[in-house]
Amino acid sequence: MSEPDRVSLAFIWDTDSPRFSRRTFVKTMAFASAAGFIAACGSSSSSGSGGTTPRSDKKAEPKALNFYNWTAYVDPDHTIPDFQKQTGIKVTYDNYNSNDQLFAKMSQGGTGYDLIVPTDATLVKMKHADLLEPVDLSLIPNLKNIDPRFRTAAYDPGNKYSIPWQWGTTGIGFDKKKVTGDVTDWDAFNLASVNGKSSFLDEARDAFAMALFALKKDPNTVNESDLDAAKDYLIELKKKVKSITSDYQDPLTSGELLLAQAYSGDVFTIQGTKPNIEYVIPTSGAFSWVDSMAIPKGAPHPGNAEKFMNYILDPQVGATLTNYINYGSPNKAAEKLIHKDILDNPLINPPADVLAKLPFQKDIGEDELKYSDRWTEVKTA
Amino acid sequence: MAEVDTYLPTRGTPESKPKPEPKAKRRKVPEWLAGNLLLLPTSLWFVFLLVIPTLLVVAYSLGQRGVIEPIRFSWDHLRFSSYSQALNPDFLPIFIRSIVYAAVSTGACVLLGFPLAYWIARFAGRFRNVFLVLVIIPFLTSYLIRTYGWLVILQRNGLLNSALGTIGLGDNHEFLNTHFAVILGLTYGFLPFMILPLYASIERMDKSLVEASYDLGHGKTSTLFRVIVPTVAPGLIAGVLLVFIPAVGDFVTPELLGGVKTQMIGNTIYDQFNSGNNWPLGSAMSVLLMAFILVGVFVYLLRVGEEAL
Amino acid sequence: MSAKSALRPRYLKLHAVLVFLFLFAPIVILVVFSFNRARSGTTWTGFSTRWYSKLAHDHNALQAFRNTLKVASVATVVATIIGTLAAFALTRFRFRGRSGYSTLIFISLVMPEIVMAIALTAFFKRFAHIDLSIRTVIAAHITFCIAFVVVVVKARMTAFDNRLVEAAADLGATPFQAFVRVILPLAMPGIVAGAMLAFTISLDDVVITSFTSGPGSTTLPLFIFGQLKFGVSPSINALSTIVLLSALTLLAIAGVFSLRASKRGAGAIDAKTLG
Repeated sequence: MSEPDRVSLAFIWDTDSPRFSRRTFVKTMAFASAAGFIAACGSSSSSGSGGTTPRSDKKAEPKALNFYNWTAYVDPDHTIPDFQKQTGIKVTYDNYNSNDQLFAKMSQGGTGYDLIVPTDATLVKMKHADLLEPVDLSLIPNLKNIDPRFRTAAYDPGNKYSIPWQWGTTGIGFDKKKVTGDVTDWDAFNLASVNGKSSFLDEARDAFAMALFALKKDPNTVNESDLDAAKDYLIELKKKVKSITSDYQDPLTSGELLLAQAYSGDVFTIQGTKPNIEYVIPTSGAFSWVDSMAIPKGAPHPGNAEKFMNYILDPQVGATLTNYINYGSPNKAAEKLIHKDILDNPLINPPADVLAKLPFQKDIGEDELKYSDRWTEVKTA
Repeated sequence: MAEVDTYLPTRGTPESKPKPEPKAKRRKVPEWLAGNLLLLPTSLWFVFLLVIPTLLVVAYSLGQRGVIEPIRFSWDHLRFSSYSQALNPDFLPIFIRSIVYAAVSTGACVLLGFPLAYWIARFAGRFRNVFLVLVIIPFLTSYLIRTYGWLVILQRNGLLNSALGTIGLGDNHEFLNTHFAVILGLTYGFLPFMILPLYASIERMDKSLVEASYDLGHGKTSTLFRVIVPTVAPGLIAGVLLVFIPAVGDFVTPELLGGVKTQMIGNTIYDQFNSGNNWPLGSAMSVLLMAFILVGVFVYLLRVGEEAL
Repeated sequence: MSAKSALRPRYLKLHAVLVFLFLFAPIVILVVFSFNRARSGTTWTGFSTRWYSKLAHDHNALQAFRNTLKVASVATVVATIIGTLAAFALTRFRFRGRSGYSTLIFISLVMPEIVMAIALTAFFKRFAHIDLSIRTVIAAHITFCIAFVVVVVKARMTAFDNRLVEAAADLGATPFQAFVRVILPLAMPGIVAGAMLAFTISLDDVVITSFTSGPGSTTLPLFIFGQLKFGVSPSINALSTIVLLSALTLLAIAGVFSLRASKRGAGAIDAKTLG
């Protein structure tokens, strides 16, 4: 290897000019004023391209599907390989870690993906932002297989934009060997045995819902004073937790975290390697969520995405998926093929009285900003 | 604009100013043309992929936020409120924390890097290149994997705790998600950016200067601070900048090794584009961060530059 | 320890050993865990080589690795060529606006990753209306690689002896000949170092890549980032170990060659200078 030569500052930036600062200042000003012009160009041309052109002939679609899904959310040996075998459509598969990451990527359009799996609240946000293509239900005969609860759900009545993938709850995962004391409700964060060894989710609505449930308020509230109370609750809670993270699975496995606000299916996956990790649905209530397949606006292969949706709703395919990833299945027709221990597990498929305390996240429109601002305060406090 | 003609003659380099060429036939291409032609690809590239994108961020910072449409920009409604929001005292602790983290890491890099670079340059003999390569080798693996290695070392039932336990210092310390972990991660991540420029300038240092200093009766301490440090100053400054600047804006390290009390300005900016739903604020913070770095560097240069160069 | 004794070779050597331990500690961990039995990068459960055989069938990891190599090599080549041209211009010629160019390059160097990521995404999507793909990732990588190439090459060029070029001219070389025969060989160590720096930085990038990538352009760092949720699979450690070993081998070979070349090169320059 060659020797790196002296890298002195002079090489990085010519500092010899005495008038540098003033000229830089002038340039900066010119720069700033040009900014507006460019932005104006950008926005005007983007509005031009966002028309409602009818979708082109589906039969002409190349045999390709760009699928953007959550990490570890398929049966790697079957879900996608079997689809490719059946249809000859080549699937390009990429992953994301959070709804925020998905939304940030989709929010300006033009990503080239055909199929995404947002959670209900994000789905609503994307629908409002005109980021989704309506689903042609005539191409999805298997829709009859899903539980009616998911045909009429408030986030997308009639499945105009979405086909449910899996569902679950947002509760608490903890190490039952190391946590001393009762973990039944959100106040478990106050247990001395988990002090400094717990975490809550890095998702504004989920974190606030935890606080609102604990305070016996409406988890979908837009009431400012309730939200302020929840914010104070979270800032106080922050002093007792180790981190705010959506990547709690590995720390929970390694013992770095003893208790975490967690998604049901994640905890069941952890149990595979570490059986003493337990999941509870807090008694004062928790959010349930539905991850649904949707087609982003401008997707190059929407027809193939619909084929995939129909494929997933097949009873055998749906059962194979659920048996592997251990989430709740919206596929009623698949029930007879789903493992008994998943079906009978009250944490995956809760009884009706518990289900009543597991609302979906509601679409609150621009009121979402009330959450966003308070969330920034919580995180920076 | 006559000042553009002031070429930068770095002291100690054997560069001579280009002389007027006696044989005029050789000078077919004027210097300004040759220079601009050679710079054409770079400048075109930077206009499209640096200047315009940065202007878009500036424009974003003057726009209006929303949930449905994350950013609305209109000439008639330029909003500067994001800037006053970004300068809100609530963000001050995070800003200060980022600077402190970056400064401490930079200091640690100097303490770790300077003696190493000095040793490689002066005492490693013909194995100098081997050692330099060894400095870079760890950085050919993925950053995330390396950080993961630190996770294994620092976690509660990790190697550091068992090592401390073996020597009787207790094995239940919290290292992960602390200030210590983030500073360690930053130091580790940017150490080569300190070592390489330092090495380069030490390697060029004239040995006879050190000897002359001894001959003139200076002790080792005095020689270190009066001869060695000033001579390697350019490398030191370059190293400090190459470590401090990326460290201030870093957000992956605190994300992976940090906890609730270690958020840096980079995390806050990132959050504004995600769950914060506040693109104008995120953009305004970005613009301010850039401005802070540029101004800081410039002031630093004015102060140190003259003595050092 | 006083500064007096601090610079003694003995202490320096000890210090060097400690710093190298620090640098290699996580690397040793990653190599060790590539032989872990369970699928955990954090808890040791026993020795196994199954992750190496599993890696051969891990289509996604290998695809990500191929993408990484593709992005890093294309970005390095392009950035090295245009960056070297810029460095030549800035050191060999005097003209108006040099400091303007330098400022541009400096800005790209100091721009925090997160800011550049946001700016580039805004550009691709809002301004240029380009769909995100591996091409946008490459373009983004070139953008942040150029400055590193310029800085390193410029450092090399500024330090070199202009008398050699004059000597070449006196001996009747055309400017082009002087460039190819004298300037380029002299700048080569800087160009190689700049290219290597660009390559490593590109290999490592997470933030900018995660913002600018589209379907099928997942790079290895992005792939690993996605795996953080359930812990990075030891397959990735196995892959990193292989990369590490190949890099070590390549560098050893390159080191031997450059050692020989630099000896010859130094001799040639001495001869010319004397002549």
